[in-house]
Amino acid sequence: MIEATDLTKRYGSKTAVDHVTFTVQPGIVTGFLGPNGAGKSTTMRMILGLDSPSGGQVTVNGKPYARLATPLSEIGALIDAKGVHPRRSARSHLRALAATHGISDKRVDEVLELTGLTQVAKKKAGNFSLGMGQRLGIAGALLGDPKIVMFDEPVNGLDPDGVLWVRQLARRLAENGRTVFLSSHLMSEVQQTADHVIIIGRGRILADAPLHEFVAAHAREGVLVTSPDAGRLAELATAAGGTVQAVDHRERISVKGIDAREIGRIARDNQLWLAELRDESTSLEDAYMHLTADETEYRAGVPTEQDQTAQEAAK
Amino acid sequence: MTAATQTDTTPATAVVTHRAGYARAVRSEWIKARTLRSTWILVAVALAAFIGLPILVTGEPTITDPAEGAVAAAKAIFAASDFVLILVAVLGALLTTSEFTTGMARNTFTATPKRGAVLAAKATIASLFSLGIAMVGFLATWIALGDKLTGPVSLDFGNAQMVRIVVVNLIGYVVVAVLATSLGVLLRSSVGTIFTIVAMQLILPGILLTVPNDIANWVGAVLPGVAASAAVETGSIDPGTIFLTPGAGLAVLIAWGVIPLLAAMAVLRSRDV
Repeated sequence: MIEATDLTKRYGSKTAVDHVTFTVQPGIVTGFLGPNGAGKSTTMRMILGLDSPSGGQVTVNGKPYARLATPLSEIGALIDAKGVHPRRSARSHLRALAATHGISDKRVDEVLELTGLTQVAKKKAGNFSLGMGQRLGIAGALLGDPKIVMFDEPVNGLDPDGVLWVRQLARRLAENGRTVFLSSHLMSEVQQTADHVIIIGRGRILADAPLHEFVAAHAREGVLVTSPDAGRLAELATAAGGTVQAVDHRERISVKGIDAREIGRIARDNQLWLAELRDESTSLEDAYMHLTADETEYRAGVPTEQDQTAQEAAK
Repeated sequence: MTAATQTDTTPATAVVTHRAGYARAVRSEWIKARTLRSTWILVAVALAAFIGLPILVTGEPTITDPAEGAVAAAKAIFAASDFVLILVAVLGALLTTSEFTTGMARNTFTATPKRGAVLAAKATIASLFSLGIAMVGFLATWIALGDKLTGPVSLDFGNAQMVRIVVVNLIGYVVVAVLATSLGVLLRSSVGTIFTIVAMQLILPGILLTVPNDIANWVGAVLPGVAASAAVETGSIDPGTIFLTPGAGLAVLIAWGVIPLLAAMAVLRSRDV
């Protein structure tokens, strides 16, 4: 379990992570989402004690990272796939990490096998592709058979096989009761892997909820209609109180405000030809876009602290 | 590459882990150092210089006093040290700077969060390599010089002055290795570290000791190489020359190892990786 309380990181006047509080639970996969530069990596570095917080604290299995006696058995992290000496072989790299905890060479060979790197174990890590580098990083993370795994952008640079492998690996680790914490800026990837999402934007937590709840809460589902009579149908749907948007081509529209059943009735009553009528499925990506849109509206609608101070000063 | 579809991460037998501290960090650093070819290239070049230069420059013995001869023999064996110490510094600096330039530091400090222990382990490995080079080099050069070290000009381990030269030189090797490792952390740059050490060892003494300025002379006198010379000097010194006493020279030499190491530890503990 990872627990962050009021965690803050400032670089000069810039606040990278802004009073963040969250808990990452065992037994599920938690996705850590946000655009590049939102504070995901900084948060992860603070979890590992690499960066010290400007405020607040974060614990791993109840302790600050620096106080863990055997950190590799508590949490395995992939932070930076490039963070390997390029002229050291994959196996030597892992043996050096293993030596810090007295982990056997047998386990080193086991994680090489597990990550599919046995064939290239003696090759220099600098010659690895980004995908192989990710696998080496994951191998290092798994060395101590940790209770928590934390991967920063694990599918970056992986081929489709590799992406599927990471997804299955994450699921399997969670099923074994481990805490799995994955960051990504790829919504579709997280949607297929995560049970829970924590969304960060501009250093602040925007949402922290089970995936399905988050999607449901931020969904704005419409009804997708494909019809050769789309123009006429759009007029009728608008008249019935719906909002109509054209989609990708002339025959397809998206209707909000009235449901599919009602649109079907309108079409029948007016003898219009329906080629397709279905509820638009809402993806995590849609929900995320809506959330960030709400966030922008919220920011625009509510006076900021500075405005209030200015108003008070004016009085 | 073959598709890795294996996802069962449960190890065949439980993974046994032990507390991550200084002793295991030393083992880890030893693996890191010995699995880079650059380490062994530096060791080979250092030894070649250590042994090769005395062979080229040592002349036929002319000294007849055995006490003077023993001192001359020891100095002849360490004739290449100025240059060898630069290579030792490169080796020591790379142990720390390469961690930061490659990003390996993040792996290192997640595996061993006790940063002081990691730096102490690196300083230990640098010292062991340096001592290894000095001791192997000493023995090999002694053998290689062969008949140039005969008669009165021979090593005599009963000669206190000669033993002092050998011991101070070995301490100097350790100090330079630790200093380079520490500067690597403080400057985070191999080039900067090597330049600093080249300046301190080869360039500054010549300038600072000769300019007619007391402050410059004092600064020159406490440079590590000059302090090491003072530490072995038992003869009389020209009056008016600013020079440390042998005891002070040894203390200053050791301080060049200790103080930068403590500074590097303080910086490493407080800085983000």
